[in-house]
Amino acid sequence: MNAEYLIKMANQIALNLAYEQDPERRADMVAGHIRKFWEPRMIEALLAVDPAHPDLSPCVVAVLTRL
Amino acid sequence: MAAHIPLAPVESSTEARIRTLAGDLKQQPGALLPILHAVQDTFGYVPECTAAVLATELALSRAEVHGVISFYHHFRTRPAGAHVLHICRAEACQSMGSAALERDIKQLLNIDYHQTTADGSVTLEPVYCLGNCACSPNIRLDDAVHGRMTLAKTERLLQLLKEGQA
Amino acid sequence: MIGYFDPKTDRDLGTPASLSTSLITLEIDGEQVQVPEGTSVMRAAALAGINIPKLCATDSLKSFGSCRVCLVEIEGRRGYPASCTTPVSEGMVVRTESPRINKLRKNVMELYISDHPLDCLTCPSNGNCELQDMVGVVGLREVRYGLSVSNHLHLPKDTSNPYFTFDPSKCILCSRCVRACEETQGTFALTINSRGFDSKISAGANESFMDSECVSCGACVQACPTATLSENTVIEFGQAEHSVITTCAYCGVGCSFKAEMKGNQVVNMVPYKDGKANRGHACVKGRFAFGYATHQDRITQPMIRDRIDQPWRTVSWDEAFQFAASRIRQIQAQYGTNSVGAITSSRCTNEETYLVQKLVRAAFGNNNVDTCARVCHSPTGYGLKMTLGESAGTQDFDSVEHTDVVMVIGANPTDAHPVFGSRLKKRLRQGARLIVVDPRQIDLLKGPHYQADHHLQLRPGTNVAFINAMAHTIISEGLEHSDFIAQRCDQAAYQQWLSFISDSRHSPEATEAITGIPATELRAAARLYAQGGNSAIYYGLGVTEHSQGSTMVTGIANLAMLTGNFGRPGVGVNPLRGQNNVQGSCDMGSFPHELPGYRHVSDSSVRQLFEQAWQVSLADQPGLRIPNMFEAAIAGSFKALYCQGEDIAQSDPNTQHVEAALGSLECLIVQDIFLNETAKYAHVLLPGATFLEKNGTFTNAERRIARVRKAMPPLAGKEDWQVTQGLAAALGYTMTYQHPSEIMDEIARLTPSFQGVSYARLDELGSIQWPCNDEHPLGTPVMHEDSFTIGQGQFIPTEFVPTEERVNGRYPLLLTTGRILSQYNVGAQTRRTANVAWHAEDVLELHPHDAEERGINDGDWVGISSRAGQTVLRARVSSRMQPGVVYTTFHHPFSGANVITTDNSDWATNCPEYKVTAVQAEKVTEISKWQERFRHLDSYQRQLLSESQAEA
Repeated sequence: MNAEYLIKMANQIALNLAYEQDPERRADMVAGHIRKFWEPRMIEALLAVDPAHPDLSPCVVAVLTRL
Repeated sequence: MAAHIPLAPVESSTEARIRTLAGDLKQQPGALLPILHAVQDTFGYVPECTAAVLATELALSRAEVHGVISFYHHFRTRPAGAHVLHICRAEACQSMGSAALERDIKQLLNIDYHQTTADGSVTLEPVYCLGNCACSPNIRLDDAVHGRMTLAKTERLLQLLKEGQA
Repeated sequence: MIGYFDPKTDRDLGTPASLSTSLITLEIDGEQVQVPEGTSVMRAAALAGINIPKLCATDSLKSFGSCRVCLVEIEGRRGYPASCTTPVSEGMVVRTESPRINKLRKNVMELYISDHPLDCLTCPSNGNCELQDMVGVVGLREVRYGLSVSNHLHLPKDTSNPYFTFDPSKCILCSRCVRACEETQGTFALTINSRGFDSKISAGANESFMDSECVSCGACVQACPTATLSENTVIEFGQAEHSVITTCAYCGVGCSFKAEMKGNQVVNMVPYKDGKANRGHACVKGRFAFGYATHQDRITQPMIRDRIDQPWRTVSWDEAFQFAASRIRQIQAQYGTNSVGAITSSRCTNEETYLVQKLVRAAFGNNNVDTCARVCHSPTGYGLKMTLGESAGTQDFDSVEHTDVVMVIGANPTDAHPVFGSRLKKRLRQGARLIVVDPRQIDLLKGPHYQADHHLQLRPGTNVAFINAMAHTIISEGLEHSDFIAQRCDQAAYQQWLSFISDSRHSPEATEAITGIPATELRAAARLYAQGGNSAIYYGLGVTEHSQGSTMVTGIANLAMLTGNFGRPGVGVNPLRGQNNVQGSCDMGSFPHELPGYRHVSDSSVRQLFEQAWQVSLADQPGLRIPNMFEAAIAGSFKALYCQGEDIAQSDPNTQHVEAALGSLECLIVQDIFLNETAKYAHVLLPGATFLEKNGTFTNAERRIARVRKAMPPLAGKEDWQVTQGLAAALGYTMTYQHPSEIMDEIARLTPSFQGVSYARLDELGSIQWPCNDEHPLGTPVMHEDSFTIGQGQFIPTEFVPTEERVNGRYPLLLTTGRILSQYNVGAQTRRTANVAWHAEDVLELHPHDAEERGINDGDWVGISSRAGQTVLRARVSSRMQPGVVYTTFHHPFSGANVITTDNSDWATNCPEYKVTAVQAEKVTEISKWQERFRHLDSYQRQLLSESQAEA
């Protein structure tokens, strides 16, 4: 699936959970949300994104290791 | 409901004047009647747009305002003649011959009730009691009540009107 | 709260019930009668089985006392008081019949009849005329006054309304129509023109019905005791011979109706008095717009084709099922189990929705099932579940009668939920205060005899900043309900939220620049909401259809918890659902991550329960949501879709993207009553059945499960659940239901909140609000009474994250979209009725300032472009808009409103951001490129359809 689409969605989730200031807990929350609502091929496609991708927010980079 | 999406209002001067009249009176309880009187006093009649304007000003519907306007004979929806002649048709006046007076005046002016003479000078209206029963039959010409009326006295009053002295 | 349901009690008791709890005993015609204080003598008599003659009285309206037919004798009182306006008193002795009373009544009836046409035999009301009945009851035998004197028999009819005729020659001036328009509908469109002999019912200021303020709800027609106001269908077909009580298939109010029938033909739809959602009222859609059910465009035979540029082949049901099933299996063999999915319909019944998700999970073997709630209220599900523990509104509609402060956010109830809108207006006329939060000036803001206290006209897309400012104000001014928070809410979560919301960035002064709401106005509204008594929030798609929709729903729940507005009548959080069964389709497990009853697919104990019942093993990971299906289709990993009763090609955002997705499917199965826009991309077309043609249940916005009862046989021979069952069988998964009641039994067995629901119970109670179980055997009108479903209420911080969709030099205006009263959703139904008389095309509303800047006049063609696409609509210059914001509806496919909307969506649920699109508008002379393509495709596909029908 289109990586840009998934990166945008993941970044958006991270941004909307930014009220959690502890980066570790926040990454856990984002990962939890994605596991709860995303279909496996979406998660696979996100995991296939290079963690150095310039569009990935730092929080989502941390999420990649949690999925 | 035909014009469901309200158009941006392009307000006429009549509408604006009615709105101003309403603005001065709308805080008082039962404001609709005083406002309608003010409208009729200002324009000489109640213009067609009044229902719509007052509906928005007073949080009523057009139908409600229209219901009130059409209920009271006092409110006219077309301009009257220069002068309004009311003939009393209540019991006391009738017992003193107002029916004949009515017939004669109609003939004299060549109009029926709710009509205006061809020259636009006089509008004829019925009224039910002017509170002057002791002097029946009565008429009212504009704001003045005249008692013990006859056709001849009416003719003289109208003549004076023409001469601008009534 | 719950009354027992007995269709035989559908009697008119003359005056409304008294709510008093103290009882009065009196004697009527020698019978001892006990009734609540405040009851009229007329109603007391009716309850005792004594029918006092009446004309101007009806129990849906306050007593009026004008007709003088209901006179009675009361011992110790002089004269003959009207029984409708006389309240009962202790020890009262009433006689309803005597020679003297009869004589008086006869005289009254004689006067009525002296000015009434005597064409009873050919009159449309023959067989259903209260005047005729009363003439019969009083035994009038002679009319002494001839017709040679003045009368009203030659007054002209008003036929301006497409659905009913006004014949003033038959009017008895009882004012029931005027009062119904005022009391029931709240429009006040009718009055008595003039007085005395000249009195006549008038619409508006002596206008035709169509030109007046009339919204065609039909309450006047229903209230009329004669043929003065008659449905045109009754005039044409005559009186019905039987009726079927069922539930409307339009909006989320879920009105109960009596479908008045002659054989298999609907004569008229009369709102059912005992229906607890609508209490005997209806709107122009539910009451009148049922003609689509028998429209010539109905698809009546299954059809298939290999490619979408081929003509359709009309086939048998079996062949269609086999064709569809073999395609699905081929695709799964080639592309994998997860390459197929389905969309359930929020217009279909609970049972049908349940079957489609069961088919996906059990026969497709995956969780790729979603519903159109995705694109409307999915954030409601998320936000309310996270904070309160249940994905549903907290109240019943009756609750509004106890509300002191109503806050309506992003909803337009008088257009989109008109019957509830009327109930709301009634409460406002009684003095409840109103706060409207909306970028537009909606009709609810001001009506006859009430006015909103505050209109917070915020910029589209700034809801969360607004709700945070409300909460901040309440905290900073010490207006929170500390006891409620301490007793009912999670303290750790509250403390975290408190430190978040206390930050000065959420103050109304700080958010004013974002929202455009003056801080003083917002503070005043916050004080009113917090201190005004019972405060209730009603909200619609203006809350959910944003990139922060879920955050906003959460913020709403936070605000209501903060002020203790949960757990009793008059308060709560009330989502106004869009379609008739949005609540139900969500309850039934239509979401790809949840099994019925909102239980996550990863929960092995829940899965086990369904695995045992369905005899399959179930996938334990979420499936694709609708927007994800489109992405996967374009990416090539999603190849087949079964779409029941949902027109995604018209209703979903970024039309060209949707079209690309549909165009890349190898098998699209559409089940619908018409060749909708989606069906133009389909390979299998399965005829659907309207709500009149099937049995089942709908669940409305107040969680009310109500029966849909079959009034006529399905046009194509199958109810929708039978179609799904046929498809399942062809896929090798057998379902053996004989009747939808068996499906409901299965749902009740597997879903705790439905445990006590059955068709027998629904017949007994009329309708049931879930949860219905051992704890709540009669259902649950008000939720979270003693504790929240989640236990302790969870405050969750709601950071305002602005949408990426912002105005710029190229797209300087914000487009927001919505609904209009006369049309419903994609318009497939209402466009095929006379409702087009009110809204024949979608228009672009824009502020005079924006219009002038662009040289646009009212009625001009205007091109609207966004980064997603361009379309052309006619302009409507309207000061209802704020400058910089434009508005349109999406009821007509050619309008292409969704060609403009983007694929931005809610961060948590992917609900599209229909309400905010940056656009430019300019005067144009021709239609857009998309519209040209649409026209071409539309005529081509219609031709393919008509070729196949000609063959058949």
